[in-house]
Amino acid sequence: MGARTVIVAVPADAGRARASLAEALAARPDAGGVTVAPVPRRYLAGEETALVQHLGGGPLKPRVVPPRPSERGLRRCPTLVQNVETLAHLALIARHGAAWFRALGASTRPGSALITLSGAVARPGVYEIETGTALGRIVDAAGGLSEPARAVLTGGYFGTWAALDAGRTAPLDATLGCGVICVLGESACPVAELSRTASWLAAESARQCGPCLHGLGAIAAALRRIEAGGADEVAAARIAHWAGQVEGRGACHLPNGAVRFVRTGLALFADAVEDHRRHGPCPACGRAPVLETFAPTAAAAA
Amino acid sequence: MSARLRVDPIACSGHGLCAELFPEGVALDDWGYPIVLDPQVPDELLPHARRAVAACPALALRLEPVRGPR
Repeated sequence: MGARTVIVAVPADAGRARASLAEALAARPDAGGVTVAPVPRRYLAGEETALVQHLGGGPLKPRVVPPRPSERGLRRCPTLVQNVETLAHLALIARHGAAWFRALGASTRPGSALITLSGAVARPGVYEIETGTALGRIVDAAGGLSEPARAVLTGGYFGTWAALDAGRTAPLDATLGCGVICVLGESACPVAELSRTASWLAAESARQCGPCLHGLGAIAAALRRIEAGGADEVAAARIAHWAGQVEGRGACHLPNGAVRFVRTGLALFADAVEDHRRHGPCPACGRAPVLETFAPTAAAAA
Repeated sequence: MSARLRVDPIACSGHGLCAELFPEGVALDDWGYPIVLDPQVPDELLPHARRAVAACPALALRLEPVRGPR
């Protein structure tokens, strides 16, 4: 590709990853143009326009496209932003050829994918799967369920909630998103999980676009009220109305992703949502979160 | 010539003048930010759309010419 500058962005607090990267770079004689940039562990650090702006010394905030970073990015040069997983695939394809890559996985989206499996499975972790693998097989590879499962979230916090039975045999690739899959066990409270994660997503907003700033905030606040048992009977309908107003109206994909997460969650957990709205927190509300949310930085919470 | 109406969501600060001046094409959401009802502005409404674009204090509303057949 002829790139003279390569920057590997890694979360600043990911000490082991940074150490192993430094070691790998030190071992290569041709790593002169490669630098490692520590970035905050935030949604925005993975949003390409925000990341490029941040690496150029600007704020970690998205900007409007076009121009895309590939047209005009870091120091106004065309900048390709890729996941390391994609680059690793490209390296293997360059070495072994396209036919080798296509031999694995689904024909429409061949190859393998890294997925992060968490929640109610015996051995949570990162797994390499063939594309098109059904969820049930991945769960089996992780030692099976650790408790009866209520639902599965596919695609991380921008993803889709579904009942586990429905998703168990269907191939995953269309919905894989960032590759994070979380199985929610019966012992967890889905309303607390929805509410907590929606609040985190709202706090991750760059606070630039009005619909995202106000809309995600309103949705998260309404979910907290439902969880606490203080919401009126149209609270869920109001969230659906706001979701419709927020969707597609940001400079980045945060509002769309958050809306997908909240909508599919409200639909799947409608009974639990109504139960909390009427009666307040359930015994499971106080349990340790299944969906991890990193504490928002002071700047994001301000 | 047909034109496409777009809001720059970062620049927009929700003054709402666009919805006042061009209600045929712009509604406001619950927080006062514009929702473009149909980005494709019909020729007969173009003068209204242009007026809304010119009045936007944040320079966030844009009319972009549509190039080529769509």
